Amino acid sequence: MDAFLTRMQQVETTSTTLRYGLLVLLKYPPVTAELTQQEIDRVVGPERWPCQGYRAQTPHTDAVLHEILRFADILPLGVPRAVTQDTQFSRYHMPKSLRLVAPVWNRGTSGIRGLSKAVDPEGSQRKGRTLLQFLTDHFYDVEAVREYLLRKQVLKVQKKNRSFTYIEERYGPYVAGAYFVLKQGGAVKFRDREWMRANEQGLSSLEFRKLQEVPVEAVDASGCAINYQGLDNLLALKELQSLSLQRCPHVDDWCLGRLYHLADSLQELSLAGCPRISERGLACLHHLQNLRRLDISDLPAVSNPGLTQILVEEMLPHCEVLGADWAQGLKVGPEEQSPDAAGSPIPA
Amino acid sequence: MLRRAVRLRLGQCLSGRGLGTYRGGSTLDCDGKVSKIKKKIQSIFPGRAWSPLYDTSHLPPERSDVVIVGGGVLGLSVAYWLKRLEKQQGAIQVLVVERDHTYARASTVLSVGGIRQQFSLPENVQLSLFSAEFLRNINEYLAVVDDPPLDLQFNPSGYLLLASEEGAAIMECNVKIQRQEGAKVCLMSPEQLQKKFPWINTEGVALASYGLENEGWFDPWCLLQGLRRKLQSMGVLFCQGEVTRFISSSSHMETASGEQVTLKRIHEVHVKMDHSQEFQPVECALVVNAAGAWSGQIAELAGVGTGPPGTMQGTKLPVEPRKRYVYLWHCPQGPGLEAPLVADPSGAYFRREGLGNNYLGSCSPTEEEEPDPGNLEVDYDFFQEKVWPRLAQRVPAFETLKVRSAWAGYYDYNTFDQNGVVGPHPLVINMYFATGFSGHGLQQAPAVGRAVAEMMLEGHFQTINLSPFLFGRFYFGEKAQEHCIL
Repeated sequence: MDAFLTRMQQVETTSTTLRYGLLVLLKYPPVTAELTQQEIDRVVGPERWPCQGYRAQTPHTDAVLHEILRFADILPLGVPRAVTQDTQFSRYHMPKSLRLVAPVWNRGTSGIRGLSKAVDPEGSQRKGRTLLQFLTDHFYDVEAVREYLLRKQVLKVQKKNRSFTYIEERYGPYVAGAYFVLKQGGAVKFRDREWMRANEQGLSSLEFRKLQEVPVEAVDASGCAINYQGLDNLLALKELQSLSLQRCPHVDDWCLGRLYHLADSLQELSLAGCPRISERGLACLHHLQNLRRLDISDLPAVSNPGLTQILVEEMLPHCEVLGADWAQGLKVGPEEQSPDAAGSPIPA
Repeated sequence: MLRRAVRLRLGQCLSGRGLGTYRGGSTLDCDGKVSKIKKKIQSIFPGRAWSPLYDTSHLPPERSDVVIVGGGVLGLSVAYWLKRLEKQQGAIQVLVVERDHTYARASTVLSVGGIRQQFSLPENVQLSLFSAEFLRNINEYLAVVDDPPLDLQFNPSGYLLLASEEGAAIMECNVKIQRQEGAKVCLMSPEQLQKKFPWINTEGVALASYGLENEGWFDPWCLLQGLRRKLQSMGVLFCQGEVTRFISSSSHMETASGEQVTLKRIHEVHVKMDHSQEFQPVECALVVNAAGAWSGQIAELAGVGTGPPGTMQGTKLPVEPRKRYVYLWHCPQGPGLEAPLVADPSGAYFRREGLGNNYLGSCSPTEEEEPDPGNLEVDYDFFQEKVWPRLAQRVPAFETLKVRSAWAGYYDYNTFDQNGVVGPHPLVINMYFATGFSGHGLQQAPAVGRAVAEMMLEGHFQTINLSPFLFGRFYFGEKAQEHCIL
């Protein structure tokens, strides 16, 4: 049985390829059979047998044969081979009798690295290639590069805001929230402890084991890349009293709509300098009835800072709102301009 | 061949007149027609200026895989998801036909722009939830390189629906369904309501449901422009014209139960240009009816409803335009920044607009009071008699208000059950519907677009199952009634 199968393996590919080849030649008579036949008649002649030696002189037939082999791809995998002695090939060192299988088919071209192999197999190993050559191998258009870079930036932010389910299950929500903030570059203050910041050595798990039951009181996430998804980690901190989201580039109105989860405990909130927050998001802060200090200064997306300040103060009567001066944005009236006009000297 | 061409052109020029005029004799050269004909004949000869090709750049293309009738938010959403879910980049050619490029009467831009999850059907809640997620991440979905990010002006203030004694049980039931689907809604008693919103008069209110997240209102024009821009970058063709005719072919088939049915397949869509009789027959494989308030007319053109009543062939698309007013008023002592979109049990609703104590609101008229949808004129008496008293009763501060302006828009009102129609027609096999949402189409557009695109590409719904919204329900009488309609 084994012998039969081995024999079949040797014969099967050749016979199937021959069958495919005949089928293809039958399907395209004007192009292949006549031209190929004409070429063979011309080069080989009616007396001699065609053989491998004529390949160089019959380029059309050669091309047809190659195309048949490409089209009827019976076994896209090369037969396994082994090296007989230690070999060095380009960057790769192969010890004796290492089995190699060469993927002949274009399965290797999926993915960004494979594309360059398909286009120019030797090219990627050459040294001294410019950036432009690298880009042309991998992208079809300049716009594709830019879309790729944009996509990468978005994915980077999303990766930073993933939820740490393992830590949450193991150490509890307080430690998970603290870990999230520290990883982003912020600072955390547990109850009755000092402010903690991530140091160069990283975050040690030893401390966290001690802090499992200790609630987090204050979070300083200034400048961190927290977004809507990442806020999940912060909203689990039910005893949070002070939250600082200053200058966070991804905190927008949708995020403010989620802060009602912290309504029971939050007393201090700072949103200064966030580029995406507008007065529409500030309208959701009315849930935070325990808020005593709110900082909404320097919000570039708020259309009317003075008026917004007044409205927010009305909305949260027990809260001290720091922000724009109420007179900001008001224009000087006409009666204040006349003393200047009267004071100007009359030319002689 | 030249002689044949000459004879053909002569024939075309003279076909209208007939031989009688020549026998008459002296009226040969009237209006210089003969000299014109002579010029035309001379131009055929080689060396003269005869161009058999004429400029069609103002016309839509001659063929397109998908033709979407209607360029409002639903039509554009279907186009977006078709291009996004296609298997290979550039595989599907999409043409969006919009009659009015200024969108002067389109329901999308005249809408109040609210989005809520407080519906009674779980499918509606799921649609709104996905649409909220789409709007939240709109700059990832609709990103175009080099263009500024979109600012939807979303107000996450939520919806506050009030219920009287009779409606309280239904409201509780609805809130349970909404919470099951993942909406964040809380129920409030009249006391809690008074504490939270002191400007409300809670007389007659037994229960209130307040949406805490993913609810509010936004700028629909911005969404429309964002979709348009992204679609143009994805290669979707836009054309301004009116669909006047469908050329289709019918085949008579027998169902499994031996009934005779006639299946129709649309082959061509005739798109007529503005202010002219010129039209372009666009060959297409699929047609999407997203014409909003005028979907009924488009469906009639395709032959939907032409048959004996009581059969599937005789079932019309029950979508008709209904006029709704929106009034903008100023009230200096009105509710502050925290005001959500409040909906009274009587049907009146209002929301805050901007920072200057301006409010928008209206009320849906009853069946007897329905205004004539022939034009978009505003009836201010309706505000005086129907809207203002209800608002003033609910919010006492609104007793002193001043109407600044008003406008009217159409609801693509589904007279059957006030819910949308999606999916293919059972008999006109390549026409898909995405219409009939009766006032909540804008907020569900991204999710509905995805569902219709999945139906067109895969043949079944993949993410949200909208089988209760298929066309067949009009024939079988299965209502998917939506109770929370504003």
